[in-house]
Amino acid sequence: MRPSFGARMRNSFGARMRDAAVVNLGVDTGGTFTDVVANDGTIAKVTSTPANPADAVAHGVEALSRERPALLAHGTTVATNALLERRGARVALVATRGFADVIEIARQARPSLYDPFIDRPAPLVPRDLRFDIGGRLDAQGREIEAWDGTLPALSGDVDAVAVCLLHADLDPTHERAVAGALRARGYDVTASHEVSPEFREYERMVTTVANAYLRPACAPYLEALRDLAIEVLVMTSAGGLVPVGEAARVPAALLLSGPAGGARAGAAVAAACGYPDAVTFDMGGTSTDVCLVRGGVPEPATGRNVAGFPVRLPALDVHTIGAGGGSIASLDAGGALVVGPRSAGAVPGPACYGRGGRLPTVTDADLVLGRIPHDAVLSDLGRLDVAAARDALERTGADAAGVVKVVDAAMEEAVRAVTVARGVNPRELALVAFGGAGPLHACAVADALGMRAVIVPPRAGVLSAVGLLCSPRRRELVRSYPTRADDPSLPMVATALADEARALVGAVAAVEIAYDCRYVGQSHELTVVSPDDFPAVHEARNGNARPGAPIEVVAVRARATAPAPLDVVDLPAPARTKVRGPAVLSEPDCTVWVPDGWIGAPRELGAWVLERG
Amino acid sequence: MLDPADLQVLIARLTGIADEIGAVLRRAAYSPNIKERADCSSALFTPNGELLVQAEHIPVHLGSMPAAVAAVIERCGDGAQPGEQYICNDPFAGGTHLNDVTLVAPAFDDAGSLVGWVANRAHHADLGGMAPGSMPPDATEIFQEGLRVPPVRLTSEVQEVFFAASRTPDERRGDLDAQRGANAIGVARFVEFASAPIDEIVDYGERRMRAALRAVPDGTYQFDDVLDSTGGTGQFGPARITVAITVRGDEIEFDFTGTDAQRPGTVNAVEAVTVSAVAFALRSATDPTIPANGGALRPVHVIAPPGSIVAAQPPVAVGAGNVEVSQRVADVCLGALAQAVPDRVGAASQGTMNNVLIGGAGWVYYETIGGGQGGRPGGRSGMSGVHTAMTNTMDTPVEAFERAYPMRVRRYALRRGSGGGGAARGGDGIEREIEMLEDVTVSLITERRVSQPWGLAGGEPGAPGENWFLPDADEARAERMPDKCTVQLHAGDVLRILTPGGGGYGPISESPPAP
Repeated sequence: MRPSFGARMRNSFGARMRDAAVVNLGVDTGGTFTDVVANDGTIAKVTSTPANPADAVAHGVEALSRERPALLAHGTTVATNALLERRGARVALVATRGFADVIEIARQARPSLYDPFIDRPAPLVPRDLRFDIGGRLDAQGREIEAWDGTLPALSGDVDAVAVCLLHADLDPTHERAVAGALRARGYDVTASHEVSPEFREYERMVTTVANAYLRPACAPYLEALRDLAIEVLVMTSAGGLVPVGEAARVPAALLLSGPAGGARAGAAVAAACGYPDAVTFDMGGTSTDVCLVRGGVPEPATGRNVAGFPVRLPALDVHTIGAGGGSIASLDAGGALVVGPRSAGAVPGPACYGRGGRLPTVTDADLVLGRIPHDAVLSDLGRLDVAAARDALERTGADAAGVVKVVDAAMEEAVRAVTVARGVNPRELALVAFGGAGPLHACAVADALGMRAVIVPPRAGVLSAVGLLCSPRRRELVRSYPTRADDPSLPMVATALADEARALVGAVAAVEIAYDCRYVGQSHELTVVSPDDFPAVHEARNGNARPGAPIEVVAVRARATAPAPLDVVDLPAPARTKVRGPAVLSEPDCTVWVPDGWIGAPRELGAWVLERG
Repeated sequence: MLDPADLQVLIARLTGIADEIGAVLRRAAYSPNIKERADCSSALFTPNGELLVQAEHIPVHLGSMPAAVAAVIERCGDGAQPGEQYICNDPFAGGTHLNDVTLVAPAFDDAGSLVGWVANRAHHADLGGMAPGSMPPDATEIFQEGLRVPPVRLTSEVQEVFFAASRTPDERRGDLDAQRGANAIGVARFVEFASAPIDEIVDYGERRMRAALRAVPDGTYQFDDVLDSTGGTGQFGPARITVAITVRGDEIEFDFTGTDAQRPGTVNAVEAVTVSAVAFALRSATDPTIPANGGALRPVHVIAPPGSIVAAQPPVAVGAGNVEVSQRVADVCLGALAQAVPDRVGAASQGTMNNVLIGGAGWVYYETIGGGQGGRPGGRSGMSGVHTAMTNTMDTPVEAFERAYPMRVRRYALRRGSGGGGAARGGDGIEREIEMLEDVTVSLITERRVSQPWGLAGGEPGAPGENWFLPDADEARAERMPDKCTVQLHAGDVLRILTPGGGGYGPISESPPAP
């Protein structure tokens, strides 16, 4: 299919065309569009090319840069899609004798309490590709049985091998030897201590397997991007940029690459507007991502669940719900209006797209209510069909205002899940709205939660691409080191790890150390800057502390950070004037709904800050 | 009456409160049992004690919590004051088994009128009794199982009694604090809904259930099954559970008349547990999206003869009623419902929780082990190594287990081939071997060691489970252990548990080979 450039929006926001060559680009691949933003503030949208996503990336680069750019920062769904669509490699698993089935047993829980037809995802390694070997460490990491050097006989059609041995986080000697021997035979091997050197074997095993599964599928794509710019960086799930070669080595770290860029840019814009504490609200077509931001920094997490697999690699603590503009509305047997989880997707899409969709969606309701202007033209779709939207709602017996009310309540619960449920009061926060539908629904959500303000960043429709340019270069290392918190060897271990992290990013890197701590006997950890902070953090997070109770360290973390390619304040600010609701603001890349009683004021960077009048 | 959108919004907001209570409880709890395994639940109730909304946690808790709130209202409701909380774990007054401790708090608005009740339940690993873990398999009376707390106001004095009764008082303190804090947060949010028409949510649940029942063909459907033993000395004979389910229009009756009488063992369920299992089976076989609230149970009638093993009366022990009788009640209900809605019900799943309780010097460890799910209609094999029916806890990771307790896991694998054959095979059970590194007391409460998870529509039954003891890890001296027992093991001894496979579904002649 020929890519379409119909959606190109060069020089929107009136940014002047610069004579100088564009040097830095952020390129975010989405399901429908690939968004591009340059360091002079120009943006472009090109149609995504799912069969070969690199084509759209190249088209996006061409659209904004005449020459080979100095830097390309890329947010990609290549790893996510390969996992969701099960297009990865044929992986063999080598585990400690008696433990290879852990990849299928998982944590024994089933996904649905009441529906016996909802299954756990099929394991990424089928039974006939699970192998076990001798050798065993005890709970302190001491060898109690040596590995005898025997390797399993892997069949010829194996593309990649994952090696995960018990307690390898404490001592990777066995794993290193086994991985080395397999590599010597020509296999593409991921060993668990290389990607997730932390305890809890299922999470480590599934992370290792996911990486082995994704690498052959992702590496060719990522390597092919090398030529598009002098320096090519890729966004990780943790919201940090890594060189494309590192991304190709650990593609499991890219599974939440997409949402991370938006969360970073949303946090930066909110902080610039005087709201360092906020929630980012990225409402798209089929799903919505929310992330708590404190002190201008999106909250980190030590892992996320992707496609039913608990991948344990650093990530932003993005909470996703399966509702968005494309969610379908219906009435259930008890007379309640239900929105989602079914989605109209991009094809056929909402009824108003005129592509054959006959079921009413949130977007149809927004259009009928006039929150999306009736004369709106969506690139490639032409003018939206208001009559079709109205008919679809009527056929279902759903009221447009009701559909919006129900989806807004779902959004409200999503924001609660990252605030109230974690002991954070949303009244002290701003809501940063972006994505196609975020700025249409944000004020209602903020109202329901009593949040201080809604911030709509400039370029809200391509904010993830902006975030790619504005995210730091970053590497994070973790090492299992179970010991008492007062162990005098801890600082040495931390320093060594810090040096290792710095070496990966460069001498300019700033390094932060953190410790995963818990009270002795507890089964969960909190990450703190110093073990001395642990009781206070425990009190804040969990509502209680145990003065005088002994504390243990489980792992040490080091994070090396170098500056972002671009500071968000360096992007040109679009000109704005104050507006009073009710009003619809048609931005080049999104639509903003300002309800009655709300006032929108232009603020730093050209963001809108919406507040109750 | 609320319009369809406002109704849905109110449900979402109130469910959000129940979810939040559960999240706070797990976040603040101390023990691995609540934190890591999530053996806890939370819910909101109307002023007269009807279940309003609940967070989805453990099925056996969910249907039985209304009994706890009813007991609190009956015994303490008149004098309830703002800020108070009530505690209970007495199985004969609102509880299930002693480990499950429920805290109930009234929610009063500023004007002093009762908006409703907030409750949460958590499994406490030890509340005393004759064996670590408070589920002694050889108990015959409840007095041997541990501390029994009737519905009383939770005061600091009551708390001290509660902690003193446990082998692990610090953990109890941490968990009870978490329960209290979670309820307090729930009350603060619930009172914001003082003027909301919450009864409409309950009515809505009733409409959903009646609509689902109308789709079930009228008739009477009967099914029988057995428990291998009722525990206690000399109680190794099987016990029978029978149900006759009658569907008439949009009403349904579960009649357990004919079920065996209770015995002086531990395999006795109080009625609230039976109601939980009925509610589970019904949702699972009709429409899993029906909200679990009091309204959904209005068209459901349960006849459980008092003094039978599905409606136990004092003073029998009931520890295994919650964990094992509940599984078999779910099995018989599903077996009967399969005749009415054959495309919604698969063959029997493992039908046990495989409870393992191990205690050493100053520590108590409790685990349940998953098994095979039954094969399902539509050619779908059962899941392997998974918790089924009335529980859904998570395992304790091997690396966490070995670093916390003086034990070592020698094997944790699927029991390949244990699922029954059929067009859709039963899922496989689990093989788990634990080597003791110091002397310990082990209690086992397991089922389906004699009887087998049944096949359906021509499918083969799943393999029964097996419990083994290997002195000094010596295979040659391996001894089969009974389904329920307490034994002393020494350092170097190995406990081997093989959990049951699921039954197969559909003709064996169409069975794919075992994976």
